[in-house]
Amino acid sequence: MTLIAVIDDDHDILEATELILQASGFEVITIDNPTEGYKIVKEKKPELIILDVMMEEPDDGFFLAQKFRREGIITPILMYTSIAKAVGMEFGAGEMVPVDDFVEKPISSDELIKKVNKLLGDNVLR
Amino acid sequence: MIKLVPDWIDTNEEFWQTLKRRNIFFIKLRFVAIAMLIAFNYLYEFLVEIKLSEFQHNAIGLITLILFIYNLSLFFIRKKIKNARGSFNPLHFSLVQILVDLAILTLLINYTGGIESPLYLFYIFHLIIGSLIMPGVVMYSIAFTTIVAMVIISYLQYSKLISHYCLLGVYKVELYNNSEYIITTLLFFSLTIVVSVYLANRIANQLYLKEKKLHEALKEINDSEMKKQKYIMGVVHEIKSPIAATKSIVSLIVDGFLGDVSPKIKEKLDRAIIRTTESLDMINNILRISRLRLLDDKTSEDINVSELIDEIIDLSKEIVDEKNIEVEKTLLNKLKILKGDRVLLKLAFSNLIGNAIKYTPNNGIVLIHCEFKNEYLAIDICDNGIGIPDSEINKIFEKYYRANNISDKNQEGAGVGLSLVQEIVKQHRGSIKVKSPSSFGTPKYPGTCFTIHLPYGLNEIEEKKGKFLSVNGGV
Repeated sequence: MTLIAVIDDDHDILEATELILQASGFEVITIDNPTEGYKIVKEKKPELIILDVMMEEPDDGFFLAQKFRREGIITPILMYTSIAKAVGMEFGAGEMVPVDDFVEKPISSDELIKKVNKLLGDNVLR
Repeated sequence: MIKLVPDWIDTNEEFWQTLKRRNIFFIKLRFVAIAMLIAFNYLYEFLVEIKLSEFQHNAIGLITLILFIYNLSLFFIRKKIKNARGSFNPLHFSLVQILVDLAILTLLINYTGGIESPLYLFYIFHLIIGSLIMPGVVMYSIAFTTIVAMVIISYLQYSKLISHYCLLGVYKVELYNNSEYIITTLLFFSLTIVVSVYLANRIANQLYLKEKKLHEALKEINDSEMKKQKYIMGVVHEIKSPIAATKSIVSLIVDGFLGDVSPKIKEKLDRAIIRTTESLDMINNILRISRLRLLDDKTSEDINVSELIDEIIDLSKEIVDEKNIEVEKTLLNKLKILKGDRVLLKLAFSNLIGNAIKYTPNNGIVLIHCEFKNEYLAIDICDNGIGIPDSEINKIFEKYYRANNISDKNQEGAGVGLSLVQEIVKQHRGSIKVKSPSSFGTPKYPGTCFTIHLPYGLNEIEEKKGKFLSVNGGV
């Protein structure tokens, strides 16, 4: 089964994401802080990382994504944002931040599954 | 290059613009001086009994011609001067003008009687103007040189080392060879010059310092506004997170991820989703306003307004079909590309179009008319919806205002929308007006019509205006 790591400090979001992804047949591992998240990604090598942009500190998610990329981890990253779109920063893939796509909170199950499938598909092609 | 702009002066765009305007003013003033010289040379003799020799006529005429050519070239050279502290800048240009003017004036004084010439009074206003814009050291040096020049001319004419050209008729006796007159005149002339330079320079310095303080105060206000907006963004984000989580969870239940939900419960949960969506929309609007105020970083991209409006209409397709509303877009004149911030303009138009659709009953009409005028783009967004009561039409752009004829409980709104729209239009140097009833309303559904005017080029206008600091009001 395809393993997806979800890193977010909001437990409700973690649970919601887990439920949606599990229902679509993915194996999900949830982590509630960036330090632990980094460790687990290194250990378990998931096929997709879902990362919240703001955790304890704003930009925690960005820094973690950069850290992964610096260390050569090319696993696709889907980033959860809560204000990006609202404030007009509609990033393109890979622009400014080394992530592959964004999902704005609140999470819509359809959008999440669509984006996850797209990223995993892309990755298989790679 | 002589350093004319002291380090403590804030050389912003406005500073250079002021200098440039001043240089143009000097050039214009010099044309007036040239006209006066011509009048003096050829007409003055007919008014008063003063006689100029033929040599004087020729000398003054030649000097006037040189002055004219020189001034004309200044007029063209000025456009090539760059605004930079370190290189030849508009202030150096002013200095060159002052120096050349004084040299020409000295020549004129020499040919109109030296110490007897009334033209030496003109030195004074040249030095006063100079002192208002130049550093003290420069002006004291010029004042000293001027005094020395007067002393030398007087001495040379007195000792007959150079010819004396008197203005025949001004004085009944010769003064250029009267040493007491020369000494007294030069003494008072020198004093007047030095005191004028001192006073003018001092006043100018004080004004500069005051202006600098004002600029600093303005900057502080802007900074604190920024801090406030950042704080608001932080707080609002904190508020948004739990609501977003709530909506995510409720959606999960409604979508059946936790098993079947009875229709009765689903109905209530749908309501919960509608209400949380509303509060999220409200929060997003506040975040957008904060961003607008916080970052003056509107991007300027080419926008095809017609396509943008099509995109927005597409987004509302579902509700338009559901309410069977006729949405019609018309264009007048050749399409012109608008420069502006796409995200913000889309937000503004979708707010207005969204409102038009929202407040128009089933089977209603929404008309969007774009007219590409020469100077600006005029967009009308009109509907035959519930309209806005006369008594309230002036308040609709106020923050958190909702017209009191909005009673349908499915139409709760933030009331932030129109204030945001107005802010965006203003940021694009445009204007927005509202009219109700619209031209095709009925007594029951009078309708509303919004008219927006937007200039095509955002940048051009901003450049013309110069980059002034602006104080923004808060959310």
